[in-house]
Amino acid sequence: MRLLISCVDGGSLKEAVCGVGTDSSVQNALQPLKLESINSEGTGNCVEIIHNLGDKFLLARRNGNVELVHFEEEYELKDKISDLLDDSRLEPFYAKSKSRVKLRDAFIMLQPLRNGHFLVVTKSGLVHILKLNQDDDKIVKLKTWEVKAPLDFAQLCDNWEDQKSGNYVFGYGGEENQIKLVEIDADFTNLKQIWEAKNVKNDKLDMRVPVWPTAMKFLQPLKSDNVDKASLNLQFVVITHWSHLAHYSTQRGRRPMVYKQLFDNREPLEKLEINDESTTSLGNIPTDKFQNFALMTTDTKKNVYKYDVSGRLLAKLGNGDISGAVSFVKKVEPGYILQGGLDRYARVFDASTGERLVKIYAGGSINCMVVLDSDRLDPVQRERKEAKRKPVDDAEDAEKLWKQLGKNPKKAKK
Amino acid sequence: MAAEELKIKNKMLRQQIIADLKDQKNKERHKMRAQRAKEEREDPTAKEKRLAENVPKTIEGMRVYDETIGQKDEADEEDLMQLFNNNGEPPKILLTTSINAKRNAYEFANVLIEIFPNVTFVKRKFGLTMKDIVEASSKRNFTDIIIINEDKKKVTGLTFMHLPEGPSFYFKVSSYVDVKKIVGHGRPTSHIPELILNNFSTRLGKTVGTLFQSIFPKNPDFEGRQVITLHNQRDYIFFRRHRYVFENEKKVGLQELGPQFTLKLRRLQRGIKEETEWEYRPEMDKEKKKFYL
Repeated sequence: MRLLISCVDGGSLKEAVCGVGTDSSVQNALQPLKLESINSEGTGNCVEIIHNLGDKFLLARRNGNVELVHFEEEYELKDKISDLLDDSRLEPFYAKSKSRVKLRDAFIMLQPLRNGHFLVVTKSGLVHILKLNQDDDKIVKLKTWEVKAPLDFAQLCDNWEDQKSGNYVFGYGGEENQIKLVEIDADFTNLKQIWEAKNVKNDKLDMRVPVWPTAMKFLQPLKSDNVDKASLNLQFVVITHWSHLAHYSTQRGRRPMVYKQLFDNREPLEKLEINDESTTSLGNIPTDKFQNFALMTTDTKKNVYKYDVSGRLLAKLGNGDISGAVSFVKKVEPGYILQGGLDRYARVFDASTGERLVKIYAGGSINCMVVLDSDRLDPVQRERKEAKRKPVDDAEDAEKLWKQLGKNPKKAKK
Repeated sequence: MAAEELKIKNKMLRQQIIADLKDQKNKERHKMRAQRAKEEREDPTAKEKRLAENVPKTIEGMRVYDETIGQKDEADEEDLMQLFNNNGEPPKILLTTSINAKRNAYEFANVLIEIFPNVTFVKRKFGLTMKDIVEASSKRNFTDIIIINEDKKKVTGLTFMHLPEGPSFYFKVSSYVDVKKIVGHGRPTSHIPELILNNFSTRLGKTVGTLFQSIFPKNPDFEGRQVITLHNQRDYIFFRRHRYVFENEKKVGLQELGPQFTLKLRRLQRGIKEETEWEYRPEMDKEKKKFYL
């Protein structure tokens, strides 16, 4: 397995090669075959998002750059585009924010559109359209719009009928920023808000319920017969900082159809992944039914929870092993869950069983991970494993062994 | 030979015989040691050899493998240096207590005022959030906030928050010994002390060590001859303060200044008490040979 790991400390990109069963925290266990830094540009320039383009990568860095890089032998910067972040837009929100640290702008989404275009969204509400020219490896900024800040997430919809030729739709939200759906024209001329969620009703004490969605994933549009074709038909699942799991359908009004509190102590939920056999390339759900799939979410302590849609806890990923807050969790093909966080370990889990396959000390808290090669075991290790297990193919050997076993049976200690 | 093996029914006689045997053994041991010491005085290499061969098995010696020990990474250096972000200026500390603190917390604050240089004590007021305190302190160029945590009229913890962007540490405080209770203690002066950090070996340990390094100025007053020691042993950090005295050209004496207390890391968080980087869990005590600092 080949992994590309982005570390915050030192702003380094590390390449790791390892087989299934690797655990660098145990001295006698299988160790990574390779773990080396490819590029290191300092903590302030660390990579926040990596998008794999096959032989090239798009990197969104903390300093506001989006870079196109290539590395087979050596790290090679092909082109970059700068000044995509704006801290000043977040200043007015600090006073109202729950954050005790000054808000800093950051990339929250970099997702591909059609024909080499990319949608980049920042925490301060800047929406950029970038074009990547494959011929000369150049990145061009086509358009920038501003939406209401602050944002904690943005998610592009890639599981609806119009995705192949029509307009693009994405959703966003954040601290006291209710979820909004936005449409961008296919030719990037215009951006308009098409839907906005409404807060749930006041609680029993008639107090307003605070709003802070932290992640969303789209379901397919409703497919039943009683769908109103004149109005918008989109569905999505949302988790909130206040520990809620919500299901919205634009056909069923602006309030959520399901709004469940997962923890009594309102443990903040941060990331959301769908643990289903098949998800879309952007992690959305390939069904229109809010049932029969599992959700993975993280808190600010150390847990990665797996829930079913009814809010029942199914499992905790890496229970007891993870010791710091999880800043990255993603399900990737073929059936791996990548996890990294403040405990500086990069882990790979089997998505179906939850078994830990790989654990590597990355040397810095992890921001992002990408699988470059998903081979479970490299040939060298396979040979070694096979050599250890010598098969008893000789009939004589087998008989000898039986005779030996027959002699002097050890008495069980009383 | 054990007492039961003697099969002497008279208890007093049996005890007497056992005591004699023990005494005899002790005498033999002392004799052997005296003999060995004599030999080793003549041949110093023998002592070195013996000490190298007879390494006692301690819990620390048998500690569970930790890959972060002895690893040196440039990235680590950069991460640790964020605790020294005050452009070479000496650290400036705001000391306060938890809300509704009682006498013990204020008394401990008095002790800490003497220990930490450039410290300002502020009485904690109701209605002020942590965010308000952090904002106000950052504007006044404070580099750290220390909060004395008190529970049921006892000082139970210390919170260290580095400004403006963290990290935050929470330590449990135990085994506090007041200066007056230390026999032969000296009186501390206002000189900036030297700092000894012992045994912070893992990556987490280095972060904790760097915290203490960052809250004391880098230029100690050597004429004060005061030393603060933070000695980590099995994840307990022992705080001691001494003055060294040159008795003659070869001999140095130590005078304890006090106080004594022990810290144990409970939590390390990013930012001002935001995402948890490391947290103590009771299950960690099950494994006696695993240490985190």
